[in-house]
Formats: sequence, structure tokens, C-alpha cells
Amino acid sequence: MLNYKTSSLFYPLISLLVFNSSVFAQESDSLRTINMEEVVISANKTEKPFVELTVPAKIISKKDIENSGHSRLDEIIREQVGIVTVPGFGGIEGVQLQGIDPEYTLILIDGMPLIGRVAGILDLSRISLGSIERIEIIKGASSSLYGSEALGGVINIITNKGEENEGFKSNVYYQFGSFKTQDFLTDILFNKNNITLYGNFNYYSSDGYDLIDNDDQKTVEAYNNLTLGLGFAYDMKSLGKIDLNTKIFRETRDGTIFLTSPGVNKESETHEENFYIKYTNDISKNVSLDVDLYRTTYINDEEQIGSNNISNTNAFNQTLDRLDIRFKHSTSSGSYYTVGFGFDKETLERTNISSKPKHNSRFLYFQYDWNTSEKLNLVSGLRYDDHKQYNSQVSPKVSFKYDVSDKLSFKGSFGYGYKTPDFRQLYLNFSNSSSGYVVLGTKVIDEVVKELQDSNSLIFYNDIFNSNLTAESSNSYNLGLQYFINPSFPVEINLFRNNIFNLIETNLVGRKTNGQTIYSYSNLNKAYTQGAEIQGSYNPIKKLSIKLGYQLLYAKDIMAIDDFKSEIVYARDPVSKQSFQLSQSDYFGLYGRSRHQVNLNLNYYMNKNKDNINFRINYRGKYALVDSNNNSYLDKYDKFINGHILTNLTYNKKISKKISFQVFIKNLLGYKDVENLLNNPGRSYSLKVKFNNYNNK
Amino acid sequence: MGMKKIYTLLISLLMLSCGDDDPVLEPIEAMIVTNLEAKTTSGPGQPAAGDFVKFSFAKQTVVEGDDWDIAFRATSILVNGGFSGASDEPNRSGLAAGYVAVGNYGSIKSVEENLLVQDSETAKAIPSGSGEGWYNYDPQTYLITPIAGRTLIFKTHNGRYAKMEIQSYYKDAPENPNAFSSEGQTYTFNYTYQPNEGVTTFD
Repeated sequence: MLNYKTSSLFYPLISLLVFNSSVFAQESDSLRTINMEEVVISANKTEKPFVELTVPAKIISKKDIENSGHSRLDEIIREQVGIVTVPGFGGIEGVQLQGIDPEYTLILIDGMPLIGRVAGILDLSRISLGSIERIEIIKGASSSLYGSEALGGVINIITNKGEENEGFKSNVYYQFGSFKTQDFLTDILFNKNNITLYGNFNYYSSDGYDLIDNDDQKTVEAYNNLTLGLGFAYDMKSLGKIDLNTKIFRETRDGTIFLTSPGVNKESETHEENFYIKYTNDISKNVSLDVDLYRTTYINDEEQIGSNNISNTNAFNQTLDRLDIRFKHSTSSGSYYTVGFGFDKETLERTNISSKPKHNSRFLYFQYDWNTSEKLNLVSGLRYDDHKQYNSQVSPKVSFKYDVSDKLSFKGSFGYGYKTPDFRQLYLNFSNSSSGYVVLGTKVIDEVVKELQDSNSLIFYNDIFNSNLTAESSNSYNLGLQYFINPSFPVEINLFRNNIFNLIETNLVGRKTNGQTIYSYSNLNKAYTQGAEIQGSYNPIKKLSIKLGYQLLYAKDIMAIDDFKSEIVYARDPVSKQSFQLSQSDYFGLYGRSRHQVNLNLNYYMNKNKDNINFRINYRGKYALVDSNNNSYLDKYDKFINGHILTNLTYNKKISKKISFQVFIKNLLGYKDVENLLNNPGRSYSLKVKFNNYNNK
Repeated sequence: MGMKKIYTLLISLLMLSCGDDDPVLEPIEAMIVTNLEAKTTSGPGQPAAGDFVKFSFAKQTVVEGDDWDIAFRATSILVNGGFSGASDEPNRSGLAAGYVAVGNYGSIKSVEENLLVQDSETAKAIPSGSGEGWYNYDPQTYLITPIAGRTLIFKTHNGRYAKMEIQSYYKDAPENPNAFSSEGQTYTFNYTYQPNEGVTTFD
């Protein structure tokens, strides 16, 4: 299953990290690379110390975020080992976790899902980093707790709600920089006795930028957005605690996000609302209750004006309601059971989807976190999702952590992950006069085909593909070790393999008499991703901390491998026009995957004030987004986007107790690739001023 | 449209010692055709319209009458045999048929007669559609690219055989075509014609 050839590569690396670091004494908290008290909730839907997790995970702390200089979620996510972002339809970038496409990673805010995926991709630049407490990343399939979409993993954004009884606290910052980028945030927190009130407001705007001169539009047109969050929590003591929270996001864009087709002007407006009520109650000494009630709406309206002055509008309006009720029962040995149930209700109104589809599902899940002994922790879980539209799903997961000694432990997990077909794959009825094709969802195809047959406008129709769609799914395996050189300097290694099956693809099912081809969706393909991730951190001198991460990745399409094996794949020499046969070793793998990725983070504390310089180097190996020789396979004769290094430098300086400022140079070396990397405008500068007001600290 | 004879194999020379009753074989002809225009009269993205351009392997050129073997319009290729189809398609009066073979042009030495099919009401001998027949369409670059390692095998309207390899769909077969600036619907292809009746090989 795992690639032994590659894993043997790591021994020199491990030993390097292990032995170089053994000389260091324990450092103060501020320099610790892992805070022993850091907790994660995403892995268990309840708090668990990071160091005790049985699954591969990563935390981006508030300190990491502040030190980085970044404003939006996509920017900081991109600097994490084992995560890259890849552009999808229209240039929006989504996260790729363990080599799995963006549509298969669940994104949560305070445990509740974000919606509004465009062609499967959630735009993470929607999320301001201003009022985030931490970001939790769980790698590997997690459908046993979260159901659909948690196939590659889960990213959970935890917002800042203050600590108990810290009184009044407020923050204001303003950042401005290249491309007339402005980022303004103010937040207020009040926490006294049993009442918490919080509010935050963020305004972000950018003039966009232009990578290619001599055309009449920018690569990224101007845009601005604002985010408003309000919350109220009340602790009723024995009656439990209630937490009300709402978030509103609005964005206006002048034009296409990325230049797609010449001569098209576009205007886009996005409106998002989240509302949730959380109720928690410690019913007895051993039993606690959590109730989450959530509603989120995502609306996007786009207007395109073509060169011929014909306007074309696109509307998208999605709503999700969720109720999640769970009980946690603790036993004496530190083990506990979690039982949860609830429902989801989802609706969508969208251009090219004529009906207003609804999707209702109910779910039930169970997890047992069992401390079998001092050394062995076993976590097993199972979730059942009762879907009205597709096959119901049973998602198991088992994981363990075994402590060999104080320093060394092993971790392993197996999980099932799935993603239900989306509304587009079921209900799309796309056909417009300017395109030579029609795309039909599997739930509307019968009706449309019958109409076409009745009016004699169908040449042929092949219904062998017209089966009901089932969920795309994966079996995900992770095996790793964690070695503490000393209590604050861990090295972690994780080997992973994801077998993904029932992947949904479009395929040709028929042709109209006017020549238009008809496409629909079916569960066709299989793929796998496998690789290794290694992370380590150490302090060569007291003031300097170094974090290093590396990911090796192989991601391949199984049908493509078969085609190469059966010797039907050729390429053509562009000059001589002669075809030649390709062998299996010429197959590179899936699009958008880099074989190698390296992230280095250096942090140097200059004084007691914790003024610091934070320097990051992110290397991404070569990858390809398109099949440039158009033979349907990504092979070594295609054009690749060159491997490249992006560096970021941040200087943080405290002027007084309440005022600090930051200089941030993004892409210090100014690497650019105007043909391929449209999200990279080159070097940019920004300056940030921040005021803190802590009364009670 | 340009045309160049690559070689003719004088197989007949080898037959000198044969008796008078033996047929004298005509030479095989290997040709390259450049910039054969097969344009649709409809706009971009619209279903193709207008006349098909008819081609004869034996005459090595575009023809007007019924003695055509294959016909082109945009990405569609018809054979002169089988169901006549839509009213804008030329009438099929011949014996022509075809199939798409996987393999290098040079490595295809003979015709597998059992694979030959004629155009029918529901499908063409050379299937149309991206990835289905002779080309791939890339929706990101809008380019039509002949699939490498696909050789089109034909039976002609009068029962001879030919093999053909499409090299480019753009004028002057550019090294890096661009869907916006290169002139499309313009074929460059190789073919080898076996003029002798009943002979299915290309050597």
C-alpha cells in the first residue's frame, strides 16, 4: 500500500532533525513550537489536546496568523505543509489536502459548514483572518463525524470569543499596501460574570492588478468586501449556556476574477449570511449536551456584458439548515462516548437549474474515545447518513495512538470519506445558444431526452450511463510517528494513502440533430493519492525558531494508468507532427499536483518585547494544470508550470503596550509567472498599525 | 490547398517475371495534403452549417461529383457510403467505409476489414465529438487537436483502401496553434492510397 521506496528516503532527514536538535534546552512558552495546552475540537467534536490526537492534524495559531502579515484565509493556508491551493473554474483557488481536490475538503466555521461552492470550489479569500482564534486542519477522511465533503479532510476556523471573565477588550488595525489594498478591522469583546458580547467589523478592498499590458482589462479587477460578526453568550449556570452568533459578508467585484474570455465585462455581487445558536449544558457530572442550530445562505449574482452588448446573468442562491444534537458521556478512565444526531436541509436556486431542488438528510453518529491503557488510545466512530436522493452512507473510522515512550508514539487511522453528488450534477440543464453542447444532470435527463425524442431532434441517445449517481468516496489510510526530541520539539512523520472511487465525470450521452452534443454525469473514475509528510522544528539559538515541512506526493488516475498499460496513449511531436507511443513511466499523474513541496518558517525574536522577524520560504515543485498536448493525459511531454519559490518577510514591532506595527513584504524575491500564476502579482508591500485595548489583563 | 507526393512504390517492377495473366499492380501513393479548408458558415459555437468539402484519394484533390471518398466540414468527416443523413450532407452513392485505428501511421500495415463501418443514421464511421473519433477539444484553450496515435482507415467509394493521419486542424499546421489567432477548420493530413482493387495492405 505505501511506497517503501520513498519512505526510505526519509531516514537521513529524520536523523538530521533528531540529532541536530537534541542539544537544545527547553524554551520559554513564546518560543515553543507546540504549545502543550493547545486543544483541537475538529477531530472529536469536543476538545482534545493537540499532542494526544490520533489523527494527522495541524493548528495555525493566532500568533502564527498575526506574525504572518496575511489578511485572508487563502494566503495563510498556502504556507502550510501538505496544503497547496489550485485554481478551478474562473480562477478561484481552493485547497488541495493530501493531493485531493478542493471540492472534497470540508470547510467549517466554528464547526458549521461554509457553502457557496462554485464548480466545487469555496473561495477562501472570503474569510478575513482578523477575528480568528485559530485554524484547525484535520487530514484524512473524516466523514464518520462530519458526513459529506469530509473526504480529504476538514478545515475548521475557530473565531475569537474571548476568555472567561477577561472584561473589556478591543482591537483596531489598519493595513494598507501595494495595489491600493486596504484592510481595516475593529473588534470588541466583553466578558464579565456570565455574559459575553462580541462584535467585529472588517473592510477589505483592492484595486486588483494587471499582469498583461496592452489589453483592455485587468488580470484581477478591483473588489471590496465587508464582514460583520455579532455574538452574545449567556451562561445560565445549571441551565446551561447559550450562544447566539451571526455573520454577514458582502463582496462586490468589478470584473472577472481572472481573465477568462476576452471582451467580457462582468459584475459580481456576493452576499453571505450565517446564523447559529449553540446550547451547551453539563447535565450531570459525566454527561454533557451540545445543541447546534445553524442556518447559512450564500447568494451570488453575476452580470456579464459581452463584446456584442448581450448581457448574460447568472444567479446562485443556496441555503443550508442544520441541527446537530450530541451527548458526551465520560467514564472514569478518561474515556468517553459521543452520540449525535440531527438533520440537514439544503436548497438551491440557480441559473440553468429550473426546479428549486431540495436535499434533506438525517444523520446519526457515534464515537468512542477509549484510553485502553496508559499507552494506547483507540478512537472509533461510525456515522449513518440517510439521504433521500442517493444511496445512504455508512462511514466508519478507527484510529489509534500508541505511546512507546515519553518521546516516541505511533499514530494510525483508517477512515471512509464521501461526497454526495451536488445539485449541479443532478439538476443542471445547461444549453445556451453560444455553446455547442448541452449538459444535463442525471435527475433531469430523462425528461429532457423525452422532449427531444418527441420533437425528433435527437440523433442518438445512449442511456448506458444514465444510472443514478452515487456518492464519490474514499478509503483513507494514515500511519505516522511523533518523536519528541524534548517536550517542545516534536518531529512528525505521516504516510498517507487515499483510494478514491466512484469519481463523477461528465461523458457524452447523445447528440441533437442540430449537431449539439449532450453530456451528462456518471460515477466513472478511480484515483489514488499517496505520499509522505514530515515536519520538524528546532531552535539553533534561543531566539530563533525554525520549522521545516516537506510533502512527497503521488496522485494518479487509475483509468489513465490502465490506458498507458494497454498501449493506446500517444503524443505528437509538435514540429515533425509524428506520433509516438508513451510508456507508463511517461504518465505524470493528476493535474495540479506537485511531487514535492517544502515549507520553511524562520522566526527570530529580537528582544523581550517579542519584536520579531518572520521569514518564510515556500517551495512548490512543478505541476501542470492543462493537458497542453491535448492527448487527454498529463504526460511528461506536456508543458508544466515551473517549480518555484515564494518568500514572505514580516517585521513585527511593538511601539508601546498598546500600539504595534508591522511591515510585510510578500513575495520578497518577486517571482512571477504571468502566463500561469495569475494569482501572483509579484512583490508587494504593506504596512499595518494596530491598537490593543486590554482593560482587565 | 496544397498537395505533395511523398513517394510511389513501384511494386509492379517486382512483378516482371510474372505471366501475362497476372494483373500488373499500380504503385501505392503516399501524399501529404496541406491546408484543406472545410469551413462552417455558422458562427463560433453554433452547430456547423454549409457545404461539405468532398475529397478523392485517387484524384488527390477536392472533387464536385459523386466520386468522392470522404468529406469534411469543421470537425465532421463523412464517408461516401451508408445512410445519407441530414439534408445538408452530400448523398452517399459509393461503397466507402472507415474506422479509427489505434497506432502510429507508419505501423499500420493493412486494413482490418471487419472493423470497417459506413455512416449510419445514429453514428458516423469516423465518430464526431471530442475524444470519440479523431480529435480532442480542450475547453480551456478552445483548441481542436488531432489525437496522437490515431490513424483513420478508409475504404474508398469504389472499394479501394487508404489510411490517413490528420496532423493539424489549423492553417499551416503551426507548432503552437492558438484558437483565437490561428485559422481553424483547415486540415493538414497524410494519406497512403492503395489503388489496386482487393489489396488491403499499404506496403
